[in-house]
Amino acid sequence: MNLLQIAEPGSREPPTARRRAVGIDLGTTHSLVATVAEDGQVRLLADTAGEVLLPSAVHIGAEGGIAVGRAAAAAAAGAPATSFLSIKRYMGRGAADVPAAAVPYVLAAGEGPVRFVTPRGPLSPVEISAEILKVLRQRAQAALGGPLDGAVITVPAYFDDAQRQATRDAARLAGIEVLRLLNEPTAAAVAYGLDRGGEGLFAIYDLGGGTFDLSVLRLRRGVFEVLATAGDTALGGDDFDRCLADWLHAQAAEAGAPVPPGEAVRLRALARRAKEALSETEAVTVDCPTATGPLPVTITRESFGALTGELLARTLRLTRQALHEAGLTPAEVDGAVLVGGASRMPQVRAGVASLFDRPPLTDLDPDRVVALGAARQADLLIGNRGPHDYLLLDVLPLSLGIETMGGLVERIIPRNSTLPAMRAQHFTTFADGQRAMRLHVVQGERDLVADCRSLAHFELRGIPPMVAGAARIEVSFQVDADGLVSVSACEQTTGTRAEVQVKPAYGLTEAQITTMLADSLAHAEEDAAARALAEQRLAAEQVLQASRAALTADGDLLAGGEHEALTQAMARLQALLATDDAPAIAAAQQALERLTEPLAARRMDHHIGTALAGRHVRDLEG
Amino acid sequence: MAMAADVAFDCFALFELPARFALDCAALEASYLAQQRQLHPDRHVRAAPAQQHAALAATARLNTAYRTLAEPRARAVHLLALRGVDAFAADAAVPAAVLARQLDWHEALEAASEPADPPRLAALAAELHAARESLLAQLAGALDEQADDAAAAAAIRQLGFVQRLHEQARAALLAGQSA
Amino acid sequence: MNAMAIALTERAARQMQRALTGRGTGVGIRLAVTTSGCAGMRYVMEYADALEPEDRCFESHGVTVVVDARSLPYLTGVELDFVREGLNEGFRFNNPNATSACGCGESFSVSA
Repeated sequence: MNLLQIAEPGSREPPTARRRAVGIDLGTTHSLVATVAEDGQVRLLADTAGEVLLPSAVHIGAEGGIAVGRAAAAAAAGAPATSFLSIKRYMGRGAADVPAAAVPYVLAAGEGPVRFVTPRGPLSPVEISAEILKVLRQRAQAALGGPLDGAVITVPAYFDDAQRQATRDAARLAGIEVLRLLNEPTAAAVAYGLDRGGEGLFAIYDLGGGTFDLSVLRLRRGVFEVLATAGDTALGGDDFDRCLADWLHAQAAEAGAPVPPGEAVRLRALARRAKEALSETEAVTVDCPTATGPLPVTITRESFGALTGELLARTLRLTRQALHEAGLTPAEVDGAVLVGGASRMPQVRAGVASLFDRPPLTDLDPDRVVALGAARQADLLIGNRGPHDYLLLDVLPLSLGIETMGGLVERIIPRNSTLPAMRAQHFTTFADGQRAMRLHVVQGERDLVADCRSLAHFELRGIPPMVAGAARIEVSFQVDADGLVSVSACEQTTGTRAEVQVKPAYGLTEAQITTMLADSLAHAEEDAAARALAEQRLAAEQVLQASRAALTADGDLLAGGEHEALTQAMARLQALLATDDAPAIAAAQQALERLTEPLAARRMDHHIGTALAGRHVRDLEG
Repeated sequence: MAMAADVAFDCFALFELPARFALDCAALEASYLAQQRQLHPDRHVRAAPAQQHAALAATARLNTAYRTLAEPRARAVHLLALRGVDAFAADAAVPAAVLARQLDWHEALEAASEPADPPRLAALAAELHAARESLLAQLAGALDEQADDAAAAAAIRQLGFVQRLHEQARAALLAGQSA
Repeated sequence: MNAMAIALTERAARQMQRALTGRGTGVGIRLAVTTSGCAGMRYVMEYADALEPEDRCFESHGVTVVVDARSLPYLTGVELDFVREGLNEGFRFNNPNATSACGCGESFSVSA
């Protein structure tokens, strides 16, 4: 039984409706959205053409128009500089992290987060990702018949604080309330575990378009406990494509017909298709676009495996590392699960099978399993009581530390700590009368600050003047269930407090997000109208449903004329529901409510009579 | 670095367990999971911000306490701290025989690592594992039976060394396998 | 004022008193049942700012509880407690009249 709170009069909630919650897999190459339907089954939501996979491609047209999905991906060959195909790779990254020569885009000048030059002005990866999320939100709203109450968005387990914060910011820009950031392999484990009622130890091998994650989980009695995670946020199926494209390039050059630079994007697309074909057949022939026309080059599955052997070996090394950190050997694992489209490559399946000495589990579609798990988690978090009740305990993927003397890192919270995690550390002043102290928070496993990711610099001010070493400053580091970091500090002898939210060094400031939200105000008005209509429809549907139920149960309490009037009013409201006329729906709803009032009163009296039959009247005297 | 040293509360009490080194692992797990089910932020996603924050703080504390008790050395350090004893007090001297043995292990590890000699590394790892088990037995005796805090503190310090070396030997073995 | 047909535990009364004091206005706490959910009815608790002609009032531990005539049969004999479960706290009805509680925990039905 739920616990009740005292409410303000007149604020009674309408009859409890299912809340609209979705799981979103915001992938490097594809994105998906799924929800748990009323029957408890998870469903992927499709676009109007029936497609569930949305290519994570955003194209900015010359006039500033935005296209997302298949059309944007198709535009990439003709307009590579303004068609963003793997934007996830740049989330939470600084301008200095992205070598200009390595991307087909034009980088905007300036420090801080990386931004790309487009006809709409410089755009950050957060803004570009938000466009993908907006399309998924609209798709979900159309399918679920109203505004979303919340979403779970998946991220690679190995994402650091800056990348997680960037994902949350993108969702905010897209008008999505994020219930939780969920690690992709954990989402896959939920989908698998709940489907099979599994117990035991599982390794989730997740090779996506641009990222690799390996998580080791223990499942028991409804608890999914991540024991260790390892990964690489810059290693994925894209790298296998690039490897093959480079090889094709070399083959063409050797044949005396080099591929011109303008055809590089097309060659990559061909390489990707060849890679996919090699999962089905032993050899494929690629017509390389050269200056002198198409040049056929044949590649076999075996030679592709040899070309990409080092990439696969990297993933297997990380797999061994995660097992080692969980204190396990491959033989102790009950099952290895393959996730991510790139895990379809035969050499990957063979590599994982050989490491664990048994065939990996592949019965759920590796492209879809993450979104399915995310939808389950969203349904649980939003409070729709589905058929499953379980708990997820995830871990911090990368150690959190601070810079100490000499550019060294002191670890504050070690990686693989169960989240949420909190740790207090004490500092003191080194000079008499010192009023401020700078702290540099970093994330990573290396001993040198320069080799870790800088999360934030912040300054504690207002330390009361004291002799050196007398101040006792407690700095609390906290990582929440999303893997996001915050820091607070307190001088304990005087109780002076300083609160610091760690804003990633490469993230957007609060002011920037506010501006971006204001810019989309015009959109917000459209959204608000759509929202109002959807809410009106929902309310009307609830009244209709209640009326129908009342008629079925107690229709005999009504006179003939009343019955007919009520049925007519219901039909009228039902017909109006198919229109977009919110005021007319509201009016018809009110008319129906007026007609049902006498029935409601008679029902109540009738039922009280029934309830009284078995009771002593004196109980009621009061 | 001891996680337990800055745990300012009684971890045993949090799980309603007796403050002893010998641990009922099943009871610890059961209490931990039961409390997680109640307190975890996922259970309070739509609650008021204050309640969400309380959930976060409570589970962070629960996780720290669980880690402290689940790891034998951290548990021993915590148990001593509850008795008012700092296991890492600076004045403790290491006996010469112990020091000599540690140096031997160190040299053996270096010799077996470069170049990697898997059979020797495996043998060393097994020896260190046995040394760890023996130190844990000593700790149990010193803490639960003899109430000899000084002996317990000495065992804790040796255990730190042995565990670190054991970890290095296992890592060297792993690197040898992956190469 | 009527004699008590609805019992408050002391904790529940104290919590209501505190809530009313904090709010500043209100003649008491209104308890009601409305139709909803999958098993038929559900409890409602809100501040009472005014009394309606059909309302009945009860007093328990110094707190006025207001119940409308229609809800009364469903609430008679009910005990209201204030409980804490983990981080949640709130009021809970212990209803001897309820025969089946639904899975969602928000509604119940009353048998004849």
